[in-house]
Amino acid sequence: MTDARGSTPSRRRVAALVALTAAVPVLTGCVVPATPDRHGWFVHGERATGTVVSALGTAALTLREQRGSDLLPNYARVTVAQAEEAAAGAAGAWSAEQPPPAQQDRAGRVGDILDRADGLISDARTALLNNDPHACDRYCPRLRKMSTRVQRIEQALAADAARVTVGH
Amino acid sequence: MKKYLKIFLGILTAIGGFVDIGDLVTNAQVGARFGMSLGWIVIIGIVGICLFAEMSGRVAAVSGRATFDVIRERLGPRMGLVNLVGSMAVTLLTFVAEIGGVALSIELVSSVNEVLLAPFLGVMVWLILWKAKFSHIENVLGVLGLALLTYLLSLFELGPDWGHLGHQLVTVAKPADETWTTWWYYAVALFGAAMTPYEVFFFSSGGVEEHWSVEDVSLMRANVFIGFPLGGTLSLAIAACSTVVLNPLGVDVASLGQVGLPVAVALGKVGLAIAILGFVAATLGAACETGLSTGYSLAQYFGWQWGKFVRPREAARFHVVIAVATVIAVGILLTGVDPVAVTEASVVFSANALPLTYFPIQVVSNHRDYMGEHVNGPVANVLGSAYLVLVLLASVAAIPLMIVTGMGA
Repeated sequence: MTDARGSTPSRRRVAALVALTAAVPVLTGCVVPATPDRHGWFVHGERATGTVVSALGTAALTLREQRGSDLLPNYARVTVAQAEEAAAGAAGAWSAEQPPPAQQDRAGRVGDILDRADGLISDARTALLNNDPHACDRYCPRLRKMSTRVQRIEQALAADAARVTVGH
Repeated sequence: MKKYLKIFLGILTAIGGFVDIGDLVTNAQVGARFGMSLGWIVIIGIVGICLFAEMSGRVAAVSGRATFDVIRERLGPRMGLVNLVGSMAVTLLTFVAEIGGVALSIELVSSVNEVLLAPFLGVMVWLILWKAKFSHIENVLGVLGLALLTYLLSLFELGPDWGHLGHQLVTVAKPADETWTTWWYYAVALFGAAMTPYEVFFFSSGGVEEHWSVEDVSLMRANVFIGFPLGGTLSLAIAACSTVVLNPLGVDVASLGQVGLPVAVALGKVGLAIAILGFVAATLGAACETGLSTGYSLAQYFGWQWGKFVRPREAARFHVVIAVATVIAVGILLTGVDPVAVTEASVVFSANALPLTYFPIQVVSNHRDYMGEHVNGPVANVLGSAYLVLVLLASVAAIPLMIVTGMGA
């Protein structure tokens, strides 16, 4: 079937597709790179810190129960190892985030704390693996203190996320 | 006397077999994050599953045929196919999650990574489904699942502020640091976990496996109306234990190890060991149920011989489907995907597929040609219709909520 201009509908579709394909790079070249989304950055920060708080709480609770011989040894090791994995994942994801220009320093500070929290959980796991009888005495207070610190950061990021509207 | 023993065993297995990996993970997550403020969703879900399980069980007892079989005949191959595709996809995903759940449970006591365990467990599940009698699978794993009663004991041992927990249960509220979209996402996930489609297909097919007749309707109803709610109480107990122990520490449940910590706090090593036995029994039992359900669904739709009541040779295609489903499930787990994440996805997609499962059941259970005088009464129809509206809403909301909240993150 041919229209008045002698082109078939399928040819017109091909022409439209070619035009669209050509328009995409042209239009892309006309826009400046977008700055990182501030709201999204705060939300991702809140999630990363929340995950680390959860991992710290899990490690502290596991060590406390292990001290009272209330846990099966493998159970304690697996649970803390999984908490460490979660914290490491959250810290890694945070370090891969592109912060807004005004938040560069803050991103670095938060990243350092998340790395230290992950390291602390790692040390606690090692103490568990070595059957250290004083593992909880040595690590529980530090895990709790770190948890409080990360929780404060989480709350600050949540407050900033609420202040900044989506897309800004 | 024998009849009463049968009813008692049926109730016990219904209680022990009620909880699966979806219930374990989702209830613990919700308790840790939202306290008991979503507990009423669990109650609504339990009433819903009782309602539709009773309908599908009655269809099996009266017609002597399982749900899929009747749906295809009554609603035609097209509607049957829609029903099949929706529920089959969700059942397969749940099968992956359940085998992953068994692997995670065994990892807790062996320290062997769940990915390494997956192939062995796949072979074990397949062997059970090939060799074991239906009643043995149902009764042994169902009774062992009663080990999860440790959560009820733990709750009493933890000595929570009952008034506070009760107040949370009857209040629609969320913690200040959570959003309403996340709250609704978990509400839909809990609803999906409580009303998982495979449960009704397994229940009705199980009725045919056990040769239920009209005389067995009262036994079936005892299982449903006593066993299921008591099983659902375990779900609430898991959520309550998480509320008491994990919520104050800011722990967000992402592993099965965290789910068991409240029991360790309350009952110590022995209690924890019993709870892990419960994890294994609940997930292994559900893995067998979902594995069988993949075979039931497909075989009943295409009219093949199916079931454990005939020799494998006589139901070859049914057993091939189960074997293929097991290979697919193990293959997915071997990619290293987190079984907890699969579980989270499976309960949300369950919610998504609910209308495809429950609408045909209500239609079929109202059909006089199959049901005779045993069609739904007015109460079942009014409640069923109300639940169909609910499942439709949950189905429409499930995927958008999952995307908006980033799977409840």
